[in-house]
Amino acid sequence: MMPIWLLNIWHGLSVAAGSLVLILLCWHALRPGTHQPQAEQPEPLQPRNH
Amino acid sequence: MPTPDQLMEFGALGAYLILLVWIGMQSSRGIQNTLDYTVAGRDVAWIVVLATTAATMVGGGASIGSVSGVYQHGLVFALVTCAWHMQLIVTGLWIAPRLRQLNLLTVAEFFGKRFGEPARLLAIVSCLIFLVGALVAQMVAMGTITETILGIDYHLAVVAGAAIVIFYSTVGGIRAVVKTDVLQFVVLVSGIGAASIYLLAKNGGFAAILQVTGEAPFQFTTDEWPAMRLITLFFGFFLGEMLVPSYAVRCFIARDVQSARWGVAGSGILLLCFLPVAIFIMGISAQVDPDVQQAVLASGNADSQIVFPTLMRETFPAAISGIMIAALIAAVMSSGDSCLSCISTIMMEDLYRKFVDRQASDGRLLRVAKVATLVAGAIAAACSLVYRDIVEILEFVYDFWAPTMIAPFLVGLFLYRKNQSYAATLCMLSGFISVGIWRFWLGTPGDFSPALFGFLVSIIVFPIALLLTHNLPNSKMFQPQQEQRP
Repeated sequence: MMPIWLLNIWHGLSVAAGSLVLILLCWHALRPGTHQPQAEQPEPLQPRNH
Repeated sequence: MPTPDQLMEFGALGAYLILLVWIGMQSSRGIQNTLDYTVAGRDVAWIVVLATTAATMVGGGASIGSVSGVYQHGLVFALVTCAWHMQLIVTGLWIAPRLRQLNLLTVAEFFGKRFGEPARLLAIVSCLIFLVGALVAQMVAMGTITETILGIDYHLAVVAGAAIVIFYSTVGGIRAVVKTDVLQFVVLVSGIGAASIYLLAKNGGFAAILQVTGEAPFQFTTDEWPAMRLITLFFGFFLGEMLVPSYAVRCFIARDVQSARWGVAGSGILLLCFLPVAIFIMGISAQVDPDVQQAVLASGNADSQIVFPTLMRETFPAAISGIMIAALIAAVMSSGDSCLSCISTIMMEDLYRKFVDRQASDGRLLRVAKVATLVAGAIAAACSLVYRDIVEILEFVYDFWAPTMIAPFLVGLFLYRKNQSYAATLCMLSGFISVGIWRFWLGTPGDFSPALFGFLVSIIVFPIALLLTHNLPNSKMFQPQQEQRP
């Protein structure tokens, strides 16, 4: 059986994780300006020869 | 005449749906080309990738299906669902960065560039089976929730809900999908988080619930769910959604490699912490709620999909249940719109541009993608009026995905060598066929997951086929494709 204390800790972690991510999203939304897209160099699709 | 409570629920839901339509219209202004429409210009920040991936993960199966699973089987079901989230962590940490580097539009494109045309075609078929099945399941869930909670006719609910999803996906492409996903994520996390706190407090905590239910729902395994079943189902869930197009596209849209890594892995970490315990609380709260039990008995449906919606209705005051209804609809819509977006990209890139018009202009491809979104959405909505068993539909699509796609996908990413095209194609075919035999002909002996069986067959076939074929030169059809997009 799952111990009750473990379930309580997991639930606390659940609430904390959800709150933290919502705060981070708000911070991202309210931050002035946005980053410019960064040019990525595509990985060459060459097989490795060994 | 609707009661004041019902009017409040309708009001909350209506306001939410209007907001989605508005976001779709706003997003359409930012669409300049097919890159914007299909991969959001590859400029999405990690926290937004996290939100959109998590919103996509939590669909009808992970919300309604999981709460129903906990209601019937207890903690074991919540533990099995951890596989979905762990899969996202693995994908994010090790696979997403490599996928992002390749600058792909579709999963099938990867197979074509690694293993040639036959593997590409098999990948297209596999992607379409998965996406269409998943989209139909989400639309069924949308209709079921709305019918159960608001008493609106199922057919009307499906048509109205599908119309909204199809509208914003068609006009705004993946940009609208990502923006609506973020909104849906906020509603979901707030709604499910608040519900778990409220229900636990209302029932006096885990210890008080334990006294009412006994130890059975808190056990790691049960007579009905022995360790073997738990383990095979865990791997079935883990592999079932791995690298599916809806998640792969979250890697493609990220701003850079690190955004892809931490966006996808972060969503897995968040969901692993957040969701299983929340659905466990909801499931066991339903077990101790006599009104829910009565409603399930009255429905006459043993594996009832109405547990979650009824729990909301019976537990919360109208204002909160209106928000929770929006959260449930959000869960379903955010998974459905991702499928729809991926289907349109496949139609545009993998089918139209490859088979109909190789030199099509970007403007023409954009129109094709929009028409494909509209048509695919309408077909899926029509199918959801006929097939109404969410679990059966999802089991079917999960069973076929992993055995066909995962082994060659991982080989192509991590162990790619020359002359693997024949082996990869045979591996995909063997996985697909073995699932069909195990599931339909043999009837899933010993409850051993068809997805896991097919996956094991595919990883046995691949090295054998490689041993037999690695010295054969690739015929033209099996040559890795090097075509670059214009």
